Amino acid sequence: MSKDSAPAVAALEPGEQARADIYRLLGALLAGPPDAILLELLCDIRPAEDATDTAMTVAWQALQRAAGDADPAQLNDEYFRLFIGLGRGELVPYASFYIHGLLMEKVLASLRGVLAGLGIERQAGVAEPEDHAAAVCEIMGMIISEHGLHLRQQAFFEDFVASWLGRFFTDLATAEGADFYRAVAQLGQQFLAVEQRYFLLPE
Amino acid sequence: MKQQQAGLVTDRRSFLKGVVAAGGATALTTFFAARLVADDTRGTAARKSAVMASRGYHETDHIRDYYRTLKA
Repeated sequence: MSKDSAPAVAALEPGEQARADIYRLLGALLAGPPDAILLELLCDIRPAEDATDTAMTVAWQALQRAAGDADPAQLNDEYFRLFIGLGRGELVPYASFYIHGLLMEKVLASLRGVLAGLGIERQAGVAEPEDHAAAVCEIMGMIISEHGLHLRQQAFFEDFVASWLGRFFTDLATAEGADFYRAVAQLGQQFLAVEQRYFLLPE
Repeated sequence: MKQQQAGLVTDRRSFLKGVVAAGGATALTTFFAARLVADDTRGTAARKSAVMASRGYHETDHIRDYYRTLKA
């Protein structure tokens, strides 16, 4: 079936859109400190009156407060201390490190193979390996969003998200240098718990 | 035996209503949609190319060629 004659892609269900966007948010926050626009967005988060997921609501509210208290210069320093550092940051946010104890390991090769099959690759000039926490979150958001990739999401989640990202968020939540990013970790932890429950439910 | 009891979520759509209502999700959709429009310079499927452009991932040339030549 030619892609040109394929039926129009239906808009995502609100819940699926929310999943994709939360992954994108986590990816954006882990790729670098949030800019003023993103901080303003986070400050305006409001749970709906009929919100029932208490843990997620609490996590969003914590992130809202952290965004409101954040100082951009301090955020840059915090991000540097946590993820970059002199030689290395307090955390090493790569799947290879969490799964194998070293960088550039088997899981990265496996991920690259999956990405090639999905038709996704790094753009020229991007030096970070694909198993960085930010990249994994962004890719998961893309897979949820793209009509042709949606069916691959559970396999991707099990192989490249559930296998290590929860432990990373736990470490981030307790990192000595974390302040704003402690709230990011809380959102990440609660969202991954949501995702685990989601994939146990029938479609 | 009834499969669905009052208050028991048994499908993904119902489950995700709580995720949407918890907060943040609706605003994020608007934010990322705007960023996709701003970042899209490739002229291909806006959502995919823009997200990939913003973080470094994009559709490979051989995949685009494959779709273009794929017959029904």
